[in-house]
Amino acid sequence: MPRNPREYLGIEPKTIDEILADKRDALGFGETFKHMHPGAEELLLRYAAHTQSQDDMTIMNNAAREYAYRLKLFEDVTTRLKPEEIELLSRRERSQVLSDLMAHRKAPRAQEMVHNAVFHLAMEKPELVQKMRASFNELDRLRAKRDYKTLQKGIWSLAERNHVKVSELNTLINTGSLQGREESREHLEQRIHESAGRFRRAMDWTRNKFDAKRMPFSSRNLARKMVSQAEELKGLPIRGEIDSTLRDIVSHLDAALTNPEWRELIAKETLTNKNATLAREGGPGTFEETQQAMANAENKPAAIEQSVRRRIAANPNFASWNRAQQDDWLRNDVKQEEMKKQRGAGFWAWLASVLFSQNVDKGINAAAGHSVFATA
Amino acid sequence: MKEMTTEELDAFYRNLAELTEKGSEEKVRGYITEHYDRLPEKVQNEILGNALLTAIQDEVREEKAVGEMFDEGLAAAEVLEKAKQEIQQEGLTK
Repeated sequence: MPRNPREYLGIEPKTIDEILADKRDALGFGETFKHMHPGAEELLLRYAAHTQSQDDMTIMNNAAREYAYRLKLFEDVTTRLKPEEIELLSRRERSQVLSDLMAHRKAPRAQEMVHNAVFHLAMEKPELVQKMRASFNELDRLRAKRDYKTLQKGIWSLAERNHVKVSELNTLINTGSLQGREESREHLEQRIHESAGRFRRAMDWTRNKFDAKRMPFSSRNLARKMVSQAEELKGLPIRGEIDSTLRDIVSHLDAALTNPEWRELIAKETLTNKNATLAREGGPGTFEETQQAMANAENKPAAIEQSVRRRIAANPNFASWNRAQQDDWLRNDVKQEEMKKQRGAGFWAWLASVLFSQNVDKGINAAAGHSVFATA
Repeated sequence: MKEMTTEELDAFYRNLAELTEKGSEEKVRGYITEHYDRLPEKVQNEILGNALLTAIQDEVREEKAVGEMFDEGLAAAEVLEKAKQEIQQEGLTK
């Protein structure tokens, strides 16, 4: 699909000669060009022999512009992929797949591998690298929003009201590691506890007496639920990682929230309402989803064979083509259409796509009655 | 390391399909990792790139969850702060 011209804004393409004079550019441009244009190799030969037509030059200049776009994608993403970021993403608890692949590969080798992969993907599958860039931008936006809100909402003033000095806050709070967070929580709770005694007794009293509807804030429902549901939540299991992060937040905010029952209520609200709605992008997002997708009868060779037979029957020209033309259509057009049924990006979506491709090959071979794909 | 032949690559995909159907995530990951260095560069790039994208997207999801919990926590803190003030005004903390 042709790219929206606005996506090229601000990106200055090199000339064809400049591109071909640089080894890396020539390689990348070649990959992009071949991906974009079936006759790329012949066209480049004509260019080398100075026998290219005006149409050839138009095609090549468009390819150069597209190459510049894909190179920008590569640069935008790899700027973010510094060794420490790669290491962060490769933590076992973050991504076991990436952790496995990066095992025994330390910086700079790991960085080189990753950058190399991103370069080639930018040339051949730019949509994947676009998603990476969009995700990094989203990550930056979320982190900036939280830092901004932290200051704006007055976490410092809340800390002060709970007898934690602002000057000590930054040294007290360390969320960079699990151990750091635990220590932060303990330090803060200890500091806040001293003045929390009276208020805690008061909050215990309010569970029976306080009318939450009088509160003017938009979180009044939460407050009402807190009062009525606190008793129900004793012993509610909470995932360690979420609770640990939640402990950071509540320990920063207010003495009363050191009450474990209130903390559990917030966690329950969060886990049931928020985490459950975080939807994945299209395609399988877990191993189990990949298994289910491949177990689905619709994705098996027999079903694909029927789908391909229908496509053959609906093609008025098929019968008049010779074998080579028929196979070309099946191998390219039909396969491309069938593969649209298995979309998505990410490791498990990739696995599903690869396995589905095998089934498509088998289905096409069965429908054609001979080996369109040699090894299926 | 010597790249797989076409026949070896086909066998790789067949084994992968069987492991996905009958095996576990751990076995699939282990199988891919074991043979990764001998896969064609194009396939290596696709595996690594997709794994990277998944990791970045999961990082975004966690950040969103933390951000939303933060918002809830802030809202709750404001509610409790108000409750604290009202209780103190009513002289309940004598």
